[in-house]
Amino acid sequence: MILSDLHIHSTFSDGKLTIPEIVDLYGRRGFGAIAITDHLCEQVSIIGKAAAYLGRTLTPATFPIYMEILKSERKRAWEQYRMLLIPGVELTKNTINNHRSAHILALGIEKWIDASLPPVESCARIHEQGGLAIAAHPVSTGHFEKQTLFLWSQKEILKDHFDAWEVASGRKIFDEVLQSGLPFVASSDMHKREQLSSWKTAVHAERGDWNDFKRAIKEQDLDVRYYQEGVAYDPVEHAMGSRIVFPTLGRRWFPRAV
Amino acid sequence: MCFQLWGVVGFLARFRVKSTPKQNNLVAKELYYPPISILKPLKGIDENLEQNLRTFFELDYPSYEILFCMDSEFDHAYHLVQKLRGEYPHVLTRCFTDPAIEIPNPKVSNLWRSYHRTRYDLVLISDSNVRVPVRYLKDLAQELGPKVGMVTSIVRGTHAETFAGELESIYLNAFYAKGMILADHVGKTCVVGKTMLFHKKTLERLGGLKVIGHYLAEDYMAGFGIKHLGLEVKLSQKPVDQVIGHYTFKDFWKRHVRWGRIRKAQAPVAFLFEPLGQPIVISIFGSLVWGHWSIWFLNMTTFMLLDLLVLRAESVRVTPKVLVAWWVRECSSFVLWMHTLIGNSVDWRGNKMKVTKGGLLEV
Repeated sequence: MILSDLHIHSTFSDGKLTIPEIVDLYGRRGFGAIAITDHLCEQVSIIGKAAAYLGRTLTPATFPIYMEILKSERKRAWEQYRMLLIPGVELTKNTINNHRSAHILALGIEKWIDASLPPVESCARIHEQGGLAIAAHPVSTGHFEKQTLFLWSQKEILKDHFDAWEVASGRKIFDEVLQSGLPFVASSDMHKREQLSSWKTAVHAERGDWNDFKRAIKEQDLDVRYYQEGVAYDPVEHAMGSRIVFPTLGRRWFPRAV
Repeated sequence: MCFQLWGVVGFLARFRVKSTPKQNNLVAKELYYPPISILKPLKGIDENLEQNLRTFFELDYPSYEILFCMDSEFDHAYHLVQKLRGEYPHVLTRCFTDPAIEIPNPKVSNLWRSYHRTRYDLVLISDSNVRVPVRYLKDLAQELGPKVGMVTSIVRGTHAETFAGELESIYLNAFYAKGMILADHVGKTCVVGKTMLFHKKTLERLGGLKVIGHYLAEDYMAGFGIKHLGLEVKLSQKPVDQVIGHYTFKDFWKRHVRWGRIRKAQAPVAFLFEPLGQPIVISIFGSLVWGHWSIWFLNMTTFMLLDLLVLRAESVRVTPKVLVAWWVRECSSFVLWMHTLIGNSVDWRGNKMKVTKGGLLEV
């Protein structure tokens, strides 16, 4: 079983850490897989254009260098930490109306995807590249921040297109997603080091094997754990952090332990 | 506020560029100087090329090689290089003229010939119109460190033979020098392609020359990528001389339209605000506010004096021609900016290219 974090931002968008710093941060803590998913904002809206001008998003110009650094760091992450680094982006559609905003994690992609495409087409493009399409924070996070509620409002139409939905982002569990019966993952949406302590996904997959990792996500061969910095962990299970318990909900089972 | 800002920049420029810390010289004697491969892309015989290249054969450095690259043995620079190689047989040199590979940036396409054949991991890319002192490599090597990804230099325009050359000089020695120093002091050091010292293994982490060769400003993008690796871009304490010679007004205008369009593509917001830093614009605004033309003259004179501080710090000789060139350059700066604003195509050594957003090239 490998501990993974599938939603992390670097200095290529609005994160505070560089990609090598992120690799070292997670690698030293025994994580088995991480996905770096910098914002890739749509270029047609004013908000998207502003993000590009302010350097808060990947652009067609910076994307090639981003991918090259991910490639070289992927090699280092494996050699140094036996950690799988998954290249990805967060396709970002922000509007003033939260109900029309949507963020989609595209994991395991290498080519540019236009963020202005409708969600169904975005998922198709992601799958064409052999990637995973994950709906990021699809319900209200309860924080004073941009909410992205469009995908959840269309979940009946979209449920067959997404491989998973975020059931937790940061320190909050999304009860609606948990109880929906939809496949899920949990991630930190980390922008800075202080956000490392958060919900993570523990995946039953072969370490370093991307195809097995994808299988485990699709088949929901995983569970969700809370990772707390500074808490003693079981070294045999590679830094699983503390386990916070939930009673059985729906058909999902959480491990009962402390 | 603008006065203070430019004054501070001028003062810092004087402090930074002029100072030659004695302790560095003491430390330098203890330093290990790693071997360096110098890559020299050449295309035709530029003015003063022989004198420029000769300075690279006379460097005081324990171990280095020079790799020349050009399109073919029929390039006029080829015979000059062979002559110099004959005069300095003790200097390790090689010359490459094999067919270029398809890389949009013509300079990078030329560089590729030698880049993958270097003996050493530490590489210096140096333009053909650069003339250097004997301590050049030692000065650059001193800036290296475990957290330093690249070392670059401010460019000092020298040996202008025409008035247009003086315009070019003043552009480099005032506008660009101030901009580079200011950027360096706010932690956003810009890389200048005339001097780029780096480890190949660092550039390979960004995909190497083949990736940065898709940008018109390959130097800027190399620096951009290196900073995203968490490494520093260091600005050398010493400027490097670019010999200007017989520049025409057309050369001057084309070059700065090209550089301006690169800036526009890469930092559009900063580019839009550039006129607010132009003395002519600030001075006109000031005289409108105060309602008297003398304010314009006073402002411009103050800016000129601040720029003279920068020139002094760079050891540039101030002559009446330089002062006239300053006034002409400043008065034409807004017109140049307007021309840069309209259009995205550039003409570089006979290659017509389109600069797309972010500086990517379309040939």
